[in-house]
Amino acid sequence: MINDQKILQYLQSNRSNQQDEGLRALYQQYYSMIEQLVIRNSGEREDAADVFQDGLVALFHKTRQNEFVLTASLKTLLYAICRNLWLMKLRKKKRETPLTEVHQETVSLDAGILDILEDNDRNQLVAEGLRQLGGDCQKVLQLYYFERSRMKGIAETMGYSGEQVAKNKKSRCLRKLREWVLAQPVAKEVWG
Amino acid sequence: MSEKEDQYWNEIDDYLDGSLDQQAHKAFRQRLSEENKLAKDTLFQQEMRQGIAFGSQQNLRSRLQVIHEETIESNQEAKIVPIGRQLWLRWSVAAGLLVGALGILFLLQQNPSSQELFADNYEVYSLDPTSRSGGEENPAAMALEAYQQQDYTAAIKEFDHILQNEPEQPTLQLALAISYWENGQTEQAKSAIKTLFNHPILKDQAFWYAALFALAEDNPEAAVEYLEKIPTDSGQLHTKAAKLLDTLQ
Repeated sequence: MINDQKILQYLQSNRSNQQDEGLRALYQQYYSMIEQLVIRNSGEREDAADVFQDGLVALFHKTRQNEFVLTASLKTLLYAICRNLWLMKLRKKKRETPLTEVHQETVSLDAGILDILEDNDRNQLVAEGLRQLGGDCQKVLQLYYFERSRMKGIAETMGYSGEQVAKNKKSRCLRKLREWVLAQPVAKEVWG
Repeated sequence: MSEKEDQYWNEIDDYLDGSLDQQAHKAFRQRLSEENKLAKDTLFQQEMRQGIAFGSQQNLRSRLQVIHEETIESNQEAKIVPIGRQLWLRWSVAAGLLVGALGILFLLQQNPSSQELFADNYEVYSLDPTSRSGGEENPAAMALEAYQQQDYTAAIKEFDHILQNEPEQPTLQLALAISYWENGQTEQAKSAIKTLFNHPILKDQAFWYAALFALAEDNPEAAVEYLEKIPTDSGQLHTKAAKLLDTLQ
């Protein structure tokens, strides 16, 4: 059993093999809990796998934010995230009933923690723009906005000579993406 | 103009990152309440950030899929069956032992060739599409589709293109190696598989396939070397490797 501080340290690392260690520990320690939650509440094994993966994506993104402070155990936080995700899915299927809980501690989730999982038109449009950018630009923006890497880490990963080069690159790439997104006819509908 | 514009958006980013100092943060908030354009642009940038994060999950999801397969699916296959099925289990074990004993007898009587061992053990690496967004326009989804359709020429082209832009996609690298092998490009397959020998998760799969490739080329010594590198905590893969090692030694 790896403790929360160690897992957090792994998740916040800039090295993908260390991040994977943290994710692997979360799978080993908490997957069965989430599987029980889903199966006891009208779900199948496959649903549990999806919910757990979505939950880890949201948790990973959250833990890498500057202001992130762990105010409950990772187990409780992950449970709260996955519980919300499963409730949302049940709601979509119109099968919402009071949940049978498998973990009693609770924590309130920060607003927006699940926003990056939303498959809406706005996110789709920006994601398409990101794919169109491709290459280094795509990678730099991913590192900054998804992995939340700092400029020093981005410079190291991308082989740039310093933080300022990484910062300029990020600004240029963001500008390109913004211009692409706003040039799309659908942008007006998406952003009103 | 661009530089000034970049500065403007960087300041918004710094605010959204929470990296402004207390005084600058307070001043920014004050401006937000007074300047409509700034408030609108800050909201827009917040949504751009979400969109970028949404579009950046593919790599992480591929890694999670690999971890899921290795930590969960292999365990579930090994789970104990319910009590009601224990009688069947006993019969199955007895039958298995009988088949095993006959198998050993058979093996004692004749040693299979390297190529036969390759044929007995080789399977194309199973890869499920993990992309749940972008559909057919997603290059990774297109590559996986070609792979599953056994159109290895197309798969190689797509995987190669993706990996040039985003080299840290080990699952796709493994699929590229298998595609080369299936396409008869054995040297490229061996080179591609070697790049995964240091990968923390996929190295065992890489050693397994490297061993099989060596067997296909009638090089059992190299196969033994690779198989011995698969550690005992590799679950089913270790069991398969140990069995093959027994046969080879």
